[in-house]
Amino acid sequence: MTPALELDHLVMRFGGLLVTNDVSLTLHPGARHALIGPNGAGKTTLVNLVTGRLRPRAGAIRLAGQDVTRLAPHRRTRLGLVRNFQVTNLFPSFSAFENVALAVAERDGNGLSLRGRRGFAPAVADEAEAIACDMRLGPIGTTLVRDLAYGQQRLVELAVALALRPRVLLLDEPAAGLPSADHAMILDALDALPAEVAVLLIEHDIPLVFRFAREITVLAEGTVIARGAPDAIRQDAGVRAAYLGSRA
Amino acid sequence: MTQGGFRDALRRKHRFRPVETLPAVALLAVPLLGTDYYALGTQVAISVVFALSLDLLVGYAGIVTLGHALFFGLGAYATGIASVHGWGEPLSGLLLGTAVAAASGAVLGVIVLRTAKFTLLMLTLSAVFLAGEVANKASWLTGGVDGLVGVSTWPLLGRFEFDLFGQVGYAYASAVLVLVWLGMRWLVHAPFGQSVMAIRDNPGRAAAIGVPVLARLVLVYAVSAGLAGLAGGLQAEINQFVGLKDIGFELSATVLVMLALGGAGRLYGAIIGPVAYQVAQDLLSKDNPVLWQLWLGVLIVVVVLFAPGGILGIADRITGKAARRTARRMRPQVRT
Repeated sequence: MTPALELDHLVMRFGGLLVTNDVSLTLHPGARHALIGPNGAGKTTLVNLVTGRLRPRAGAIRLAGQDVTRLAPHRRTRLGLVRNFQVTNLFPSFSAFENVALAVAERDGNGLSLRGRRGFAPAVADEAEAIACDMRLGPIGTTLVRDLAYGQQRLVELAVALALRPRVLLLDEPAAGLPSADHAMILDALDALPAEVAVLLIEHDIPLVFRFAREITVLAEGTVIARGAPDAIRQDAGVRAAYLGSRA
Repeated sequence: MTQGGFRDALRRKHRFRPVETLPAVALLAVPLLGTDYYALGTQVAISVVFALSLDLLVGYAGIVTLGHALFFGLGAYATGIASVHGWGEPLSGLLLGTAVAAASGAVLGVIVLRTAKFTLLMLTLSAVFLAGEVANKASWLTGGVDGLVGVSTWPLLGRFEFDLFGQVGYAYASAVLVLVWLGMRWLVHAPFGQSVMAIRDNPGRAAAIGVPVLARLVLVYAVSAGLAGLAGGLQAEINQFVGLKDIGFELSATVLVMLALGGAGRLYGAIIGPVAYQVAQDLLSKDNPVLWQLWLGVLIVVVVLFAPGGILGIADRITGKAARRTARRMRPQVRT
């Protein structure tokens, strides 16, 4: 089986600082993989390498077998590599439905279309509404996203990601900034993701990670220090040391 | 909300409102004022086309520029120079001005749109100064400081001679304005326009949903430049003269002020702004030939201070209060 996403010995440096040290990672279709690590471990850098905001000094990134290391971010999106953002990042002057519809239109290559005088073609509007309603955004779908509560905005983020029909979904702290009472809402949404999508979850919140992931990779100081099933990670002495900050 | 609610919302948002016919009514009303107002009406119509092209950049795509007169001037000179050299057919002349400006916009866009904010502002400013200086020095082609003389526009459609009262010129400019306005309205309500506004809202997010941001901005820049060139060509044909001020910084700033006065990002601001500015200019300069610029300045300062959304922003606030009151009553209390 071709892996959905393959990181092959990635190296990234900022000046003299080694932030990604020979990181390899393979995600098969349907994976539920979590990437954890203490602050400054290089998680966000890794996300930026995978999405194309940064270019690695060495190594390769393959998407369904295709080398995308030098591809621009929007081209990776078109190949099915979809991300959400740690901080809510939407189109604030559009409604929740419209945010999803923009993604649907762009996915189908209709971003340049001049057909449709009501913003979006009827088929696009219907699909966007169905996706948003699956996320239980129906009642607030026509509200501008800048007027939504933070938790609702996080759900719109997920709906936008799903609308792009991802093959690989990078979720950068989908529950960031939410009180833990609202985590159930995000977890329900994550549980409802299509089974064949490979998901890489980058998350600080450990209970959420253990609830969601089937495999965990632990990053510390740019290096993979452990990898395995959640139970094995829980017992790993090196991981405990990294989190308690006593690596020396 | 049941399925189909989004379609209804889109229909409401993008529907054609009766009030949108007002600009056309205003165009038809000018001839009723007598022949005295054709010249002013024509100048306003040209400014509105120019301001509409700027609104596409500033209001819809979020691209700031201080150099939009570059494209106005390029269109004006292209059309004018063709006419001086023996081709004065108005429609093809307009097309030429549009094409030259659009092509320049595409080239310049590829270079300057990699930057944003102040850098972009400075680059567009430099571009218009450079172009102005080139037009100044290349007097064999442009007439330099004396301006381009000898422009002669052939009769419109081979039949309507451009008359002294400016009746044909006014009709011509009005027709072009209506077509440009319809085209712009179509553009911004189409999926293309939505994607451009999405880039304005959040370019990083737009890239993450697969939008080729730079390419799309370059396209918008070229379209906007082309429309500015169209306005320039129109002016060259009707005034039968092109001068250095048509490619200068002052014109760039003036059109930006007109747009700010009306309110950017809504098409109608680009209509009301130039009308208000030029009618005020006309009245004030008749009243006081020396100090009129002062009073115009005071008017603009007052609008910008007390109504950052321009004249349409004031209208919004008045009608918005009533609308919000009903919305609050109708909206179901939803908690998720």
